[in-house]
Amino acid sequence: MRGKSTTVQTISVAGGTCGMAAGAGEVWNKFARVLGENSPGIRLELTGCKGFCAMEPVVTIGDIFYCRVRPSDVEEILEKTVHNGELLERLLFQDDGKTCETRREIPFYQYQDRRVLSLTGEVDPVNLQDYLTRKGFESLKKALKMKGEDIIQEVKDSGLRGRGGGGFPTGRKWESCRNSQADSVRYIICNGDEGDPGCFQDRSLMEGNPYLVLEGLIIGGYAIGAEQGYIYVRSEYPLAVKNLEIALARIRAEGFLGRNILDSGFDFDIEIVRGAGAFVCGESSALMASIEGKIGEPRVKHIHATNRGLWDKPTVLNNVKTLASIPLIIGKGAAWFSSIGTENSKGTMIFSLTGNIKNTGLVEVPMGITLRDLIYKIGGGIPGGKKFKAIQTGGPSGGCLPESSLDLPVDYEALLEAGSMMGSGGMVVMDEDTCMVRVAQYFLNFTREESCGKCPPCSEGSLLMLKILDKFIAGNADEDDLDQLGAIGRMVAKTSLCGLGKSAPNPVLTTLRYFKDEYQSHIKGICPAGACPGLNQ
Amino acid sequence: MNYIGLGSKHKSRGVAANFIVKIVINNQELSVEAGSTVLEAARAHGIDIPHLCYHPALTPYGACRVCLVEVEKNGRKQITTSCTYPVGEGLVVRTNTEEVRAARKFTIGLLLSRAPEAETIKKLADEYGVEPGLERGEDADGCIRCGLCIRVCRELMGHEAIGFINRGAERIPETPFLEDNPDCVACGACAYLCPTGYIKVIDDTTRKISSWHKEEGLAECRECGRRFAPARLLHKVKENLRDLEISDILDLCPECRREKEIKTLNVVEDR
Ligand SMILES: Cc1cc2nc3c(=O)[nH]c(=O)nc-3n(C[C@H](O)[C@H](O)[C@H](O)COP(=O)(O)O)c2cc1C
Ligand code: SF4
Ligand code: FES
Repeated sequence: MRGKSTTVQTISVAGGTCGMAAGAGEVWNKFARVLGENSPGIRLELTGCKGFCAMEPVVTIGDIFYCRVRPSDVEEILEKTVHNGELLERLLFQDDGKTCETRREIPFYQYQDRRVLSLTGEVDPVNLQDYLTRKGFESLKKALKMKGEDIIQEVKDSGLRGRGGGGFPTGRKWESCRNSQADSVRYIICNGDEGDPGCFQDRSLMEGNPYLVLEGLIIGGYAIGAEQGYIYVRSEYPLAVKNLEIALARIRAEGFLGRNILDSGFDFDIEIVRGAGAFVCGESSALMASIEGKIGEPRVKHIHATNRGLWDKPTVLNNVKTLASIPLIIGKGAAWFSSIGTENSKGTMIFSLTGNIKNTGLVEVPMGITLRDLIYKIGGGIPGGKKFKAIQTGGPSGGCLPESSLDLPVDYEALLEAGSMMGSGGMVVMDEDTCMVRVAQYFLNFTREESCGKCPPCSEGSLLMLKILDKFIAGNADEDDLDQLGAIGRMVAKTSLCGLGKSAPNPVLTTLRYFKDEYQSHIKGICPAGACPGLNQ
Repeated sequence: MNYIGLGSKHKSRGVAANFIVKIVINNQELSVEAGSTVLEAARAHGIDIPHLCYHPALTPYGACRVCLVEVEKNGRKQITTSCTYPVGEGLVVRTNTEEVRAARKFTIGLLLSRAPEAETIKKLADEYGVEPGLERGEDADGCIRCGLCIRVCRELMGHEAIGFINRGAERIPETPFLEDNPDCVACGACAYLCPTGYIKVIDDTTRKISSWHKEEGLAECRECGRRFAPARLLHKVKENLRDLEISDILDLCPECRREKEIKTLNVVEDR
């Protein structure tokens, strides 16, 4: 039992795209209706996603965390919890029979370190005042008093690496852009294309805390000497576009954007570009072609975009999470940022945890955390008493890692060595009922459908691999097919034009590496997971 | 000076013309023009690298993946397409290693499954000992998606009659809405460059290009009456060459034109 509060209480409903899909909109409407125009002492807020997707719609009142709230719960919440300080047991999170009275007790949050996400899900995303009272734009003010080189040095010192795929050191990317083609116009682009199925970290940030992303983009623009920035948003993200548009208009009106920003003499503006709706448009050269109004198709580039990018001008392309880390680095310093993580992977990483896992959702964890802790401590393990089988990291073209890799730290190099990658932070957990041959088929089918078709290794090579996988699934494959599959996969990776084709074979190659016995069983007509019809288990 | 490779459209990437760099191709040190590609440099020195989507007059495209070579720069080796890779001082290129040949063999096999009847591809396939990678049957439409047709139309003819539609393995050059595009004057440059014969031009009383749903009237020769060139193409050429005052020979078929030229020459000589 809690005492009745005398200060203003904030009722906050998580209203990201995911929450809305689960019914958060109706819950919020009900609160608004019941509270009416005038409800002294109570503030009702629609925030971005709080990350715990499995529990949506989520309502928080201070520290209290209510799960799967229905509109029919609203009146009781107001009467008991808000007015009388009583907890509604049935709406609290239950962890193995233990009731968690506050959010801090929920293991899903307990082991996270929400830094970049600290305000996502906590504030009204487009309320500029909210952002400002939480030190919003303080980093920009600080940055505008610094020299571009010094900002870049700070970013270099922080050890920040790109969160969009390759993990390229951000400070070095900025430096090379700043130093190329003296006197040229420069551009900075935020990559919000996020085409990986099941990934929603970038969406969550753009929807839930657009000011943070924009602040990072403006600081980046200042550091490299750009006057124009772009934010390329996937067309399927209408709420992100809407919130970014509102946010842009507000900061422009307040002088954080536009001519002579905060009287610093720095001119910078940002334009939102809506994506062309293809996965491959997230690739650097295709994305820039798309902004230029050309077909969003990869082009061979042996010259870095930092040298010749958008309209052949020096250009920085950064992921949403990368840019959202910038205000933290400038505000709190490189040392603070790099105080957590591994030797070559600093700070935190945001993952989408999905698949056969109890606590699906968006998590921010320190780099270096083991996959095991991520799955069991934060993710709550595998539901239904099933055994863990594999985890796929890095999106559709990442690799599938087995039980024996669970003690690997989340680290760019460690994941690469294991045959997978950090990618943009997708994580799909699979249990013992999953057939790994089918998993390879599923992901390869995704990349085949998304292949632009410009080069044969990717478009035709993935078809070739799929044909062989079909043989395994039907029980018609032989040892020769096993060798062929690996050989073709390695060739596709070697000879494809862009990153899509180069990484498309990863699910095949890693399942061959870690689950070869399962392929061999299929040759004998056995699917150990019992997932292939017509084969024995 | 021992370098050629001029005539390529994609030359100066911000590098002063005639600036020479030294590179090594297959252990041979060569002086090549800065700003050229590895393929251009190799061709200029008579080093053969197979290629299908490259044409000296068009922007490099890097799609067929047949011109793969090994390049080594700052100690880092990679397999990449020579038609797109820019030369630079000290670059080391190997065009014929076992790995390079295996990679080409792989991509040629994939192209062969697309165009099993095409002589150019069959010849390459023989040379590399390749079988088609995929049995396509009906699906083997004979197009290898090299994009030469689209690029020649856009970059040299100044038209945009065709483009790629669909993605992945279904990608194919087509006209918008799969119907006759008035922007196409039936010049046939696309068919001329097509390495597989996918695009066919049939001249009778009209010119037919079935891939582009095209049928265009042919103009008659003023002298012999033979139908010899698409009327709209001829019209366009005349417009473009208006200032040259040679329009009267443009109405003639190539044979009559030659005859007329000979006569003119005779007249000149008679004088
Ligand atoms: C097929 C393909 C799709 C990609 N999609 C995305 C994407 O959706 N978002 C993203 O940030 N990066 C994506 N990338 C990576 C980008 O090309 C680029 O490396 C990245 O945006 C750089 O930002 P960073 O340095 O901050 O990581 C993709 C790459 C490939 C090859
Ligand atoms: S690798 Fe795939 S997506 Fe990339 S250019 Fe080739 S066909 Fe297109
Ligand atoms: S000629 Fe170089 S990729 Fe086709």
